[in-house]
Parts: sequence; C-alpha cells; structure tokens
Amino acid sequence: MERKQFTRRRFIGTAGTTATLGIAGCLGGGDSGENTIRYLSDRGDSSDVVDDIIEEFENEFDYTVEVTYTSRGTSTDEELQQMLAAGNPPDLVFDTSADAYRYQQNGSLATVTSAVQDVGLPDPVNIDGESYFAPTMVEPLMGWYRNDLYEENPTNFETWLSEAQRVSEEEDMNGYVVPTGQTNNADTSTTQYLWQNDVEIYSGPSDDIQITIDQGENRERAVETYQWLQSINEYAPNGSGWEWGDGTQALQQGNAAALMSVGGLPILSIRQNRPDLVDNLSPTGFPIPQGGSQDTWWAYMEGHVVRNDGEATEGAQEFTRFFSESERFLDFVLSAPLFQWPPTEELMNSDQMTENEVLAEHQEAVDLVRDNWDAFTTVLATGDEEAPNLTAANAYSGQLFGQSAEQMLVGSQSPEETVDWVAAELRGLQEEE
Amino acid sequence: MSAVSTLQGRLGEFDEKRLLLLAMFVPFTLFFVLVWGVPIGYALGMSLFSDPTGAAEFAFLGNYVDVLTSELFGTALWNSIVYALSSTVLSLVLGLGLALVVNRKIKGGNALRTMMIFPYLLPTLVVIFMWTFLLDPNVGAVNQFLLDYGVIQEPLAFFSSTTWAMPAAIVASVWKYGSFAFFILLARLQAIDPNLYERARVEGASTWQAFRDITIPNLRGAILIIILVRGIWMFNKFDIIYLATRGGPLDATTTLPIMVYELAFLGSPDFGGATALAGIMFLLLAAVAVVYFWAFKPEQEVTT
Amino acid sequence: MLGLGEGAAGKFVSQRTQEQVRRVTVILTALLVAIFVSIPVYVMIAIAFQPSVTTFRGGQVNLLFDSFTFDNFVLLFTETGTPRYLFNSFVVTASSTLLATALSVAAGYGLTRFEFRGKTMAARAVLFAYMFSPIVLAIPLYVIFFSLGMLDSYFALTLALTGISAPFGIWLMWQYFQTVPIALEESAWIRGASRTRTLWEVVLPVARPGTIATAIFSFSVAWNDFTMARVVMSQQEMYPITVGASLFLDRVSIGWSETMAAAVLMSLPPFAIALFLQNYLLQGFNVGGLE
Repeated sequence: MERKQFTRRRFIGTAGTTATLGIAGCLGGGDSGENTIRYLSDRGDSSDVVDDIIEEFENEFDYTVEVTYTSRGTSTDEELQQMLAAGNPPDLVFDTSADAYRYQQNGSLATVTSAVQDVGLPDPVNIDGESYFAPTMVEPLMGWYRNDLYEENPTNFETWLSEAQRVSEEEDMNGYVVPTGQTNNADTSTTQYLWQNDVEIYSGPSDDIQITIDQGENRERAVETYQWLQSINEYAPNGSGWEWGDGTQALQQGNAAALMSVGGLPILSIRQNRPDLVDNLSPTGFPIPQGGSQDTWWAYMEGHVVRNDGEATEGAQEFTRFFSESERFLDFVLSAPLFQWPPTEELMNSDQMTENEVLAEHQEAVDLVRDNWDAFTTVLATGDEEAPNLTAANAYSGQLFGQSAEQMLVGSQSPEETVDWVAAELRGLQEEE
Repeated sequence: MSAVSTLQGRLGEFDEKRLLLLAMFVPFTLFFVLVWGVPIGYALGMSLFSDPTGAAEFAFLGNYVDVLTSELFGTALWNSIVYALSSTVLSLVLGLGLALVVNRKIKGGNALRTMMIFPYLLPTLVVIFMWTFLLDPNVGAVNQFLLDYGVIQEPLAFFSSTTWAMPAAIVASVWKYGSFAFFILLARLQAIDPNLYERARVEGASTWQAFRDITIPNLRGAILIIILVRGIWMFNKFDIIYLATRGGPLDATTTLPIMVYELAFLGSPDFGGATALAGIMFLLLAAVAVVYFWAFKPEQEVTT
Repeated sequence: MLGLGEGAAGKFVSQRTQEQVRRVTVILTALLVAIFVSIPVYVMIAIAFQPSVTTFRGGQVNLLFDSFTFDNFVLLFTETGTPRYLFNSFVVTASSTLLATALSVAAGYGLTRFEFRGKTMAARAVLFAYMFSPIVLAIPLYVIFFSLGMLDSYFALTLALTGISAPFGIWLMWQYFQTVPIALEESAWIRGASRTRTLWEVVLPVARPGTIATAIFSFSVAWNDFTMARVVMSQQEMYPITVGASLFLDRVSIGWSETMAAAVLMSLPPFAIALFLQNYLLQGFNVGGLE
C-alpha cells in the first residue's frame, strides 16, 4: 500500500515535469517557419474575398498564409494573448488603428511603410516617418431617423430634444435611443456627443496627454452634454448594455423613432427583416449645438499590422502591401456596403463604389459620408494636431465613456459627478500606462 | 470462452485485480494531470507575476492584494453567491420534482422525460439565443405577452435593468440546468429496488414514510453531490451571464468569473490579477468544499 | 418535493383523497414544466422556419407559422461552413463521449470494489479541479497543446473535453455502483467467471442507467463546448459548430432567422439523443429490478 501511493505520487510528478520540459523545449520555436505567414483576423464575414486575395498572393510569392478567423469583439485579443503566452505570435493581425498604436508603443510592430505611403493610404500610426498601420476601411458613426415621424432632420441638440419628446408623446414609441454601458455603441456615441459640444477631453502631444474634460469651459460643456443626454433619455427605452444590434431592433420593431449607430448597419438589417420600413428611414449626423458645425466625426479605421516577433515578418509585410494594392481591395470593403467605407476619397469616387447597388439605393447616406469626409477622426487621433493619444485608445478599449453614461442614467449620478468620475477614471488609466 | 476464463482464473486473482486497477486509473490520471493539474499549476504560477504573458516580473502576493482590495471584489463575490445559490437550489428543486413525477408512470411521462433532458443537452449558445430573444424588450415574446395582457405599460428590458438582470440570468440557467439534476436523480430513482416499496406498502407505510425511508436515503448521495458540483459550476459559470449581460447593468450581474474575464482580456489586460482572482475563488470554493465533505460525506455508501 | 405536502396530510386523510391530490399535483407540475420547457423551443423553431420578413412583419413578432420556408437553412449550408462545423462537432463529441464514459465506468467501478488507502481523498481531490475558474486555464492549456504540437487536432480536443467530463463521470459511476449488490458478482465468480468477464457480462448491464447518465453528461459537455475548442482549434475548418456559428452569426447580414436556424441545427443531435434515450431509460426499470 505504501509503495503504491509512492508510485502514484511519483508518477504525477514525472508527468508534470515532462510536460513542463516539453513547454520549455518548445517555447519560442513554432513549427510554422518563415514561409508561413500566420494571419489573425476577425473578418470571417469577408473570408471569401480574403481567401481569393491569399490565393493570388500564394501563386505569386513563395509564401503560404494561414488564417485564424475569430468572431468580432474581444476574441481577437483573447486569441492573441494565448498565442503570445505560448511564444507563438501571429505575423499579421487585422485590427483598429487604436490597437495598432498600442502595440507599436509596446515595441511589437514592424513597419508597413511601403504598403501605406506608396499606395497613398491614410497614415494614422506614423512614428518618425515610418508607418505601422495599413488601413483597409473606415466605419463612421451615423444616425438614422424615421422621416415619417420626424418632419425633418432635427439637426441640433434642442430640436432633437423637442422632436423626440413630441414623437414619444404622439406615437406609441420612444423618440430616441441612448445606449449605456460597456458596449461599443454606448462608448462611441457618448464620446461623440461630447465632441459635438466641443468638449476637449484631452490636450497635449502624444508624450504629454493631459486630461482636460473637467477643466474650465470643457467641464461646463461636458456637464451640459451629459445633462442633454439625461433629458433625451426620458424619451428613450432602457438602453443599458445595448450594442448596435439592440438599437437596430428597437428601430426595426417600431419601438424607437431614431438612433445613433455606425454607418448603415441598422439599414442593412432592416432591409432584410422589414423592407417596408426602409423608405421611412433617413441618415443623419449626430446632433450639433445651436449654431455649431460638424468638425469631429468618429470613424473607426481598421486594417493590417505586422508584428515583429513572428517568424515570417517579411512575408507579412509583403502580403500587407499586396493586399493594399490588390484589385479585390474594394470587394473586401464592399462585403458590407454602407457599414464599411474605403479608406481614401479617391477610392470613394471609384466606379466600383458608384456602381454598387446597395449604395445607389441609399444615396443620401453616401452623400453624408462624402460631405463630412474631412471631419472623420479616429479616437486615436485626439492629441494636439491629431497626434496619437494612448489614453484615448485605452479609454475606448475599456469603454469608459459608455460606462460614464451608465453611471449617470442607471446609477443616477448627477452630470457633474459623471464628469468628475470620467476624469478620475481617465487619470487612473494614465497611471497604469 | 470458458477455456479463457479458467486460464485467467489460474493466473491468479491478485494479478488480474492489479491489472484491472491499473487499467481503471492510469488513463484517467494521465488525462487529469494534462488537462487540469499542469494548467492549474501554471496559472497559479502566473498569479505571482505582474504581466506574466509579457514582461513578467515576480510580484509574490501583490496581485492577490490588489484584487482583494479592489472595489469590485465585494460586489462580485456577493453576486456570485446569489447567482450560484439560487440557480443551484432552483435547478435541484425543479429536477427533483420532475424526477419524482416522471418516475411514477403517468400519462405522457415519456414525452416529459424527453423534453426535460433536452435543454441540458443544448449548447449554452442556443439557450442564450432563446432567452435573449424571449426577454428582449423589442422583439421578445415575453414582453409582447405582458403588454397584450396589460401587465406592463412599456416593454421591460430584463437584461438592462438592475432589478431584473440577475433574475433573468437565473431563469435561463435553471432552464438549462434543471435537467441536470433531473436525469441524474432519475437514474438513481430507477436503481431503487421496487420490491422495497412493495414491502413498505404491505407493512402499511404511508407514501410519505416510504419517501422518507426509501427514496431519500437512496437519493441522498446524488443530491449532495449535485448541490456540491452544480454549486461549484454555477459559482464559476461565465458564459450564460457574459453572453446575456456582460456583467451589467452597472455591476448588477458582475460575478467573480466575469471579473476574472474583465481583468484578463478587457482594457489593459492584467493576467496576473486574473489568475490571482481565480486562485482566490479556488481557495474560497475549496474551503467550502472541505467543510461540506466533512459535514455531509457525500460519497458515503447507501444503507437501506 | 411533491411527496412533502401529501405526506404531511397522509396520516389524517383517506387513502383515496391522498391519491387524488397526488394525481392533480403531479399533473399540474408536469404541465407547468412542459410549458416552461417548450416555449423557448417553440419560439426557436417558429423563427427558424419562417422568412424573416414574415416574422417581423408590421413591427410585431409573428410566431404563428403564416408561411414556412427552409431558406434560412439553405443559406447556412450554402454560404457558411456549417456542414464542416457540424461534422467536426460530431467527431469530437462522439469520441469524447465514448472515452469519458469508458474512463468513468472503469474508475467508478474501481472505486467501489477495490479498497485502497486514500481512496476517498483521491476521489474528492478530483472534484477540486472544477473549482478553478476555467477562463484563466485557456492560456496555460493553449501553451501545453502548442508545446506538444497538438493544436488543431481532433485528438487534442477529445482529450481536453474528456478531461472536463471524466472527473464528475467518475463520481456518478461510483455513486451508481454502490447500488449494485456485490452478491451478483460473487455468484458469477463462484460459477468460475473471471473478474474481467464478470465486469463485462454482469456488472455493465446492471450499471446501464448509470452509464447512460454519465454518457448524457459527457455528451452535453462535448456538444456544448466553446471554450476548449477556442483554445485547441485555430483553423476555421477544424471549428466545431458552436465556435463556427459564433463566427458567422456576427456578420452584419445575419439576423435572428439565421441565428435560430443555426440553433435548430445545434439542437437536432440533442433532440435525437433525448428521443433515443427515452426508450433506453425505460429498460432501466427492468434491469434495475434485479431478479
């Protein structure tokens, strides 16, 4: 008996050691080699186009590309962490410009300068003349309202409020939607409302970002914005935890008459489920203050980054350039028209864009994007003179502004307290950097 | 066939018994170490470092202190207890009731049995699809029903309300896991020798007496183990709550596993903190389990 | 639970009233549960088999089958990797259910019939594994499978899933074997059967209901799995349906109709199993009777 126990324990010990040795032996050494480019992407919905581009690339170059598709949201981050922990990093990642900047600051990116500068793409993550992010698409925020209930686009803060009230009272539905909580929808729109009211959340150059949302006039304007949000929330359903899709459903089911979303996302879904409603919906920008103008408009920018710790770094750089120059580039963007837009004005005006059927049916939305092209800004470019802002990138990834709206609307903080809360959280983030 | 058995008989009881024992435990031990032992050790190791997946730096218990002193910890612990206790108890009550009903031969009992096992076999993803749809304020059938009958004036966003989010998550969980208790208890019920009941009846015992003296002792082990294991699983349950509410609104449904996830993957990832919190949860559960084992001895052999 | 109310009254009320009360409670409970269980399932089916335009027509959700279509399924089969994902799920679920059940039966029998020191401790220790939050185990597991060169294999996922279901399976079987009288085996030994043969021909048939419960549990762990598959599989063509579905369901063009169609597909094997088991569990009555 005694012996049996001993053997058992020793066995467990041995197995443990063997496994650990195995881990140690293999760390840092993947089995992929430098001719296999490993590509991590959350664009499974465009996989047809991506696979075509990969095939062309493989025919022309001596590389193979292995793609891991993850679902939207945080699963790319999870996958990436796993791969990094195993010493098995991918070579190429499809991500937002804000994340690209964060990786760059960690020192884990290789340059993609030629894929950006030679092709003439925007260059949001440019450090000392070198580019680290090759954009493939922009996704601007956009609102939609019922043109049969709203007589015209309310445009400014005041009219939106009074019209939302009128619609709520006259119709059996909510006039507006205010999402809150840790969702992209809540975070982007809360940030955008602050931008609309000319609140300077941050100031300073990249290496010296200051939190200014609770300083002087910014504080007043921020409080004012939160107050407005509080008022219009009276005419909105409980939008806590609402992601883009929830707002879309409210609009689709006639529970809400207007909402702020991203691009044509709501219309894409409503076209499918309630075609009868499509003509009753018009696109709009975010509410602007009386007499103000639209000068900063949130647009996501997504594209490729090449990591410098994988084994096929050069191959990944090659592929990024190939992708940027590919003839199928616009097909990739147009796999979700109205939601994804090309990264340059030149491509905006290309034949493929004008010939696209879905776009043609929503000319108003296309015009809105064209007219406001210059106002499009990523959350990253919020330092002085659009310098990259690490704090803003981190705040977005923790969805701090979405949470601030929830603190106020669900947690019943006052607008003043909410501004202080956000400022304190932002400073907390900076300490962690 | 008989030749073989005599041959084996001659080889001796002892060797065959030993061989059997080995065959029974060695494969399992291997799996266990690979799938649980090593990863848990590895994770506990990581909990002692700051930024363990990047520039790891030894921090000893620093992560543990950080997690325990964070504001969220208390809330998350309370939510976990509420969620784990209520979903476990309700599933057990539902499962036990149903197992007793189905074990009697009633009309439609078969269909009921099929129906009851079904939810447990469904992937959580499907269960969440169903319940988020049913409870959705915009498209949900529950809201439509309540509105039509004038119970509520305006759609209720169950998963968006601090009052309703937790109960809604619990209902969805009970829907899925009630059947777990059901099929385990049913299997045990069927193993009870029906003659026992017959004898009891002949001796003039009431239904209640038979239930108390025959059914309960036979089910005791199974019930105790269901409470323990289900309790542990619900305490560690992540997917149902995350898919339904992501821990919101505010922190109304933020349980410890949600907090682990947020630490590990959201914002600026803190894997050291996440593994430390997992370690703390492990210790909490282990402490409860040790007391539980000591008090109830759920593995105790049945004596009827 | 049901027994409680009727029982308290049992001493004072006549046998007949008792019986009636019992009947009514039993039927009421059964009815309530049937409704609770079947409504979500009905809603899923209604949405999956209707065109989305019908479902959402006029801003109401119509669940009464005005029109019937397979379009949602056709879309899944032609435009997504659903067939492949389903196949992967089948392979992994079947192998891990078999493996886990076999391991559990073996170890559960061992625990009941063989005495060795630390037996109870060992069995208890196994359950402690479940106390570690699986979320943070993803990274260590990935590292381990990567180091062993086992990523992207059915084998690795089978192992991982078996690891999850086996500890509890063993407890189930241990519990179950305790109800099987050793007298059965002893009489077989006396008749000259070996231990192995007794196990095979006497013990296993008797243990069938327990084995089935264990198999149901292992099946559900494997079919339900999302986390382990995300850890082990990184190639799309190796994804099981749960992970695969989460990939295509967040496409912008996918709505509730396709989602519920996918849900129906994921529910078919569970449904088949539940149906199949219905007859099988019935046999349990006879075997459990132990002549």
